[in-house]
Amino acid sequence: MLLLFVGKNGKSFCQRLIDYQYIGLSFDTMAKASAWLHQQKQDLNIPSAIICDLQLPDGSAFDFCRQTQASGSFDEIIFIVVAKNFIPADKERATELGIDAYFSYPPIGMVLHQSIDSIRQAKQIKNRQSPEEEHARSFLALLKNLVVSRRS
Amino acid sequence: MQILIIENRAKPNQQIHLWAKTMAAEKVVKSNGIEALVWLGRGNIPSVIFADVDMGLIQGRQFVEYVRANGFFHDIPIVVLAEANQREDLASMVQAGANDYCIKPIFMEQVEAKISKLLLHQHVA
Repeated sequence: MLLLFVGKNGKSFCQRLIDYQYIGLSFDTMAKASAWLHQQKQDLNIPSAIICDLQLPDGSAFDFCRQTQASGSFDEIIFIVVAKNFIPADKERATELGIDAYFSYPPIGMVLHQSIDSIRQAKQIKNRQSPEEEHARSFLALLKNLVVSRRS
Repeated sequence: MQILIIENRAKPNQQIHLWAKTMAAEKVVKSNGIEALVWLGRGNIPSVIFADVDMGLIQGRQFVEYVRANGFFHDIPIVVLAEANQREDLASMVQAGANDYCIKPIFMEQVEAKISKLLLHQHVA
């Protein structure tokens, strides 16, 4: 599992998680969102979770979230926003954008760890397809293969 | 109305559950402070939190401080539920920002009075 922290407090923040339980967890930190978006275009590592400071040097977590959503790979990624201070309007925007969780500094390792786990489980259940959907999907894949092999 | 109860599931606070039933309030029960913070962090905002002093994996004071520090849920009223011999911990939770407390055994009238007061304050504010 790869965690990505975007913001200036990344190292100490992720260290707290690792100190708590995520032994052997790999994490990456970046100060700017634009750096990650640029990297993502080159199809590099997609993290399982992005923990993002509300205020970034190149925008806000909400802008970053919107850009990530636009890139189409957001569904799988857990998006957590952390801030020293949230204002009520932030909550509305967070809900609108479908941000998974929001926490304040200083982080509690155990809370973050359990949050990531519970969000991951919830996403897995949500993304799990029904047997009919799975059947239809494999049928379509078979059909596609057949068409490709006939053409060639 | 939605209420969050943080309690040891083996020792439920019956009067709180009864009060919630009377009020047709939706109850969410968490067995420790960490579970409760995870739930709150997902964007759930209850009308009131009832919290046992003994929060298992986290100290009561730390829980209250964390809730008060988070702009998303800092204004949720917190009522601490304590045994008579837990006054010291209770005091530290109130000092950290808990709004009110009940010493066990808890009576439903007591709960009703405290909640009416808290919710009224919230509306006025």
